[in-house]
Amino acid sequence: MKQDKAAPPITEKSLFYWAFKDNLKLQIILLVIIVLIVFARVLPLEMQKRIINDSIALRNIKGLFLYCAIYIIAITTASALKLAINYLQALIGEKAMTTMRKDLYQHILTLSLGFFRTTQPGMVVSSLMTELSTAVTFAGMAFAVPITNVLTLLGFAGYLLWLNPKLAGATLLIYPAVFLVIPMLQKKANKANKQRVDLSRTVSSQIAESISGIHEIQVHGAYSQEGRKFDNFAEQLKKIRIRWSLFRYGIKTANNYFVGLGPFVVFIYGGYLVMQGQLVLGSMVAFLSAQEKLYDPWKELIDFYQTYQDASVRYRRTMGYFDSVPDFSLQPLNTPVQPLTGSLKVNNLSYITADGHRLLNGISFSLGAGEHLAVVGYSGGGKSTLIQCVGKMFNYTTGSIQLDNRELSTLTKYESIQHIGYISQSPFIFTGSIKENLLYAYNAATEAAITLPKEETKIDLDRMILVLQQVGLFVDVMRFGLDSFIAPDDEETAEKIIRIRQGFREGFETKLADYVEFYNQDDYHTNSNVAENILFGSSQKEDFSYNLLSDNADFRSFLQSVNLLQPLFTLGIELARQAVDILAGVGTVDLFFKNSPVPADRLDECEKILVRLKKHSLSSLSPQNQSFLLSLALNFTPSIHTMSRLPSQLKESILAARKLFPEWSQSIGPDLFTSYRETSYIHGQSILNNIFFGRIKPGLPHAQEIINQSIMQLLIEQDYLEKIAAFGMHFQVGTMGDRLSGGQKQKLAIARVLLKHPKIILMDEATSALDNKSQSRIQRLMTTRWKGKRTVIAAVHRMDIIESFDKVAVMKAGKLIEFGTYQELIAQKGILHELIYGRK
Amino acid sequence: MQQNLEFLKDVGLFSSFPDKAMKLLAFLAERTHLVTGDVLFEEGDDHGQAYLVLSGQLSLSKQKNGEKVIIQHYTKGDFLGSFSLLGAMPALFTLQASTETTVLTINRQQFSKILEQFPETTKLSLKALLNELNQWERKNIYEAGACCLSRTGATVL
Repeated sequence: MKQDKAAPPITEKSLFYWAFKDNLKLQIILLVIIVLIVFARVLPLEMQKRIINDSIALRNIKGLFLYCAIYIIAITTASALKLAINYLQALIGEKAMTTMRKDLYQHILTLSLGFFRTTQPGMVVSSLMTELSTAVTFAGMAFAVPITNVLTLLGFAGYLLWLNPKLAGATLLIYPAVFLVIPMLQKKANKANKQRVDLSRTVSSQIAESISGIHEIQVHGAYSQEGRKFDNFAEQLKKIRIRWSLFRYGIKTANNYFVGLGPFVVFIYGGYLVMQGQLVLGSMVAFLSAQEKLYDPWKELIDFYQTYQDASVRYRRTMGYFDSVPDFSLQPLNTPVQPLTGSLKVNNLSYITADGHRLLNGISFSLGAGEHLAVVGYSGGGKSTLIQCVGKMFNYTTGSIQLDNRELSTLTKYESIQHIGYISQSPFIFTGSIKENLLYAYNAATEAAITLPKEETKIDLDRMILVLQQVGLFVDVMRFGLDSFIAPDDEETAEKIIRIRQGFREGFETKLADYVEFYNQDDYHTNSNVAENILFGSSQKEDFSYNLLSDNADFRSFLQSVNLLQPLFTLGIELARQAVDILAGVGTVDLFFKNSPVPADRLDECEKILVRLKKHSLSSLSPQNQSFLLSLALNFTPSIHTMSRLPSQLKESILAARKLFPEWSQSIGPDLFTSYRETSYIHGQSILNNIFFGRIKPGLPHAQEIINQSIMQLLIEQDYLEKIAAFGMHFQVGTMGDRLSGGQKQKLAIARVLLKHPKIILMDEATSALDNKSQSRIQRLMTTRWKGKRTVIAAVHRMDIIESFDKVAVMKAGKLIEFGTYQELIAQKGILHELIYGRK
Repeated sequence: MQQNLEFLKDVGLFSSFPDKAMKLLAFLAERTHLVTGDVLFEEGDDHGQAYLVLSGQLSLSKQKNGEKVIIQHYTKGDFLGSFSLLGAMPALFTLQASTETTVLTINRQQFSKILEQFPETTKLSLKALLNELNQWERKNIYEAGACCLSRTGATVL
């Protein structure tokens, strides 16, 4: 066990370190149990002998009962203890692996960006999740198994020697032979195992690469090419795995063979001794049993040996892969963060990559506190690299970067994140809510600054709203809030929204009449589906929810009674026919099915139904099919499912049915449905629909802005803006933020940096995904709010916005070729002039 | 939808598309109602959409020295934005509704999915575009004569 180094990085820790870390107490308990179990295992042997020699031979009934009682107690205890050992082993193993995983993951996160450039995500996943799991088995075994079994073996061996030294000596002679053969085989198995681990890793990387590049593969049709690469690896892996298995089973077989020789020795030599009168028969029986019992601990020892070898090979390979030091010191802050003014001095800065590319070459410039610098130049000129160096994303090779006369490289990571905010060109948004993403950088910075009192780290809603407004994301968040649903038991919010609804009716109804279809008892609503139009209400009972209505026999009998059933079936068939006509055979592209009444996965069913209907009547369809057709009709919303129209005759019938519906529903059960009323909240519809008491009409782009303005104004009047914003901040952005647009993601990335109030803001084409209006908003924010307060370095590709920066830097091939104010550089008619006005 | 289909069939870019693709296109196309002054795209936006005017009028303009200069009007049956269906292209002009207008909109995503589903349409649309380009070249360069040749070169492609 190597535990001599003071504090080696976790990748250099030995496998035993994890087995004992935080587990020492458990390991000791385990050892105690083990000593007991050894005793409990040897005891039956002695009883066996006494039962035969003392009781049976001497016809001693009392003795027989006594010895048998001790025998049964001993084996019961042994079983119970064995269970306890297994449990403890599992406990220790899982604990050890969890700590190992957590620590290793934390370590991986801090590794330099250069490391990740060459590492496939799949590799990290399989290392953490699969490769390390053998260590569980081992950690649980690490202490207990060798000790138990060695002790048991010694116990048996001692007992045998005590019984008859000659015979014992002869049987135990087998074992040294085993010690010679097995390690030799194991060495070969290890070698194969190492190759297997390495190759598996290569294959994983290969798979990960192919899957990430699936677009390229498909567009080039390079299926067989990729397939061949994979086949090649798979074949190699097969060969190595076969070899590995061969050696592993070879060890087992060799072992079994040697152990099988034991009884042979007992019979031939023991038998001889009995005949010679040097050994009693009882002892020979005990010898045979002991011989058999020796097998178990021995086998476990061999298993342990194999597990240890396998685990340590995998462990070394895994840890070795991540054996690299983080670029930056991650010492926690123990002194209060020192405020910075934000002045920046870069002197003779160079950055050379590991493979020798010089990305930055002797850059020098300085910026006063609060000055704004635009970095422009040809792509590949080093703009991003410069910004990333200042952002401490990697260490510069030579030169210096000083913040307020403090060298950046001497600042710990936790200190630098207090002062520096970085916004990338294609920011990464994490799964979670808007709020979680918004607080991402802020929380990281405050958690690091442990010296701050707790209250100061709390951030209030007002400040978040302010930041969202500054970056132009507030309207979007409001929209998320308005489109959300309230909890069914949230009476307070429901009441408030009904009051807001009244306010809306008084102040905005006429203004928005063109854009919203209001609920009205006498109108057919083209933005609502057929079911909603019939019910003009909703049900809290699950059996009567819209999507289950088509299965509901009561509801069907209602449709029958108002002569709607047949027309709705006809409509359902028509919808199925249209959908099949347009969408059959085009592949299940979400985009195509967005406005289809038939979901992609049920198109086949439609085709089958239509085929059947050609020859048979509707009533010959299975109940499921009938119900499906009815559900298509009930779900039909004319303004969305534009492929069909609603016959006006049917419209009239539906409106007539609506009048009869409340009476019928009362007859089925009281309070089954709640009709839409101006005075009650509609659960199952968004807050916005509830405020409108209606739905927005689609296809009116200008409506959006007017609606947004009106609703904002209304919510301010009603003092409810913040509450809705809070709802909106809980909007889940989806995996990697895929429910947000590119612009929204970028705005969110700017907002999350702003929230932590950094003195230095680095922007790497941070507004490139924004439309004109949003871009000017950020531009305005920079000139009015940040000038003089926050130092900005921005890599810019649009030349029309750089005039408002204090300084402009032009970069080419890693060098700073021009630096000065916009006017100066334009006047000198150099490269900047050329970039803007073109070559003369 | 049937109406959309009739309108789209008259658009040069789609004229030789197979029926199935046309149906899908007509189904995906969205009708948008605009009031006077509504902006469809602004200079610099990558709007990624093509528009077919169904009724009313759109005007294309450019800011010049702070003033809006109208360049062209589009009316019923006009189709604009074919290039932006193919890939990212920031607009050089601003498009607005100059009266109450209805347009049929197709976006890049929809179009590219159709190209994916019906591989033969890629060739067909390329052919149609080439045809348009050729006509444009003939009209704007060949016939315009010497005045513009010095600026544009003899041919654009």
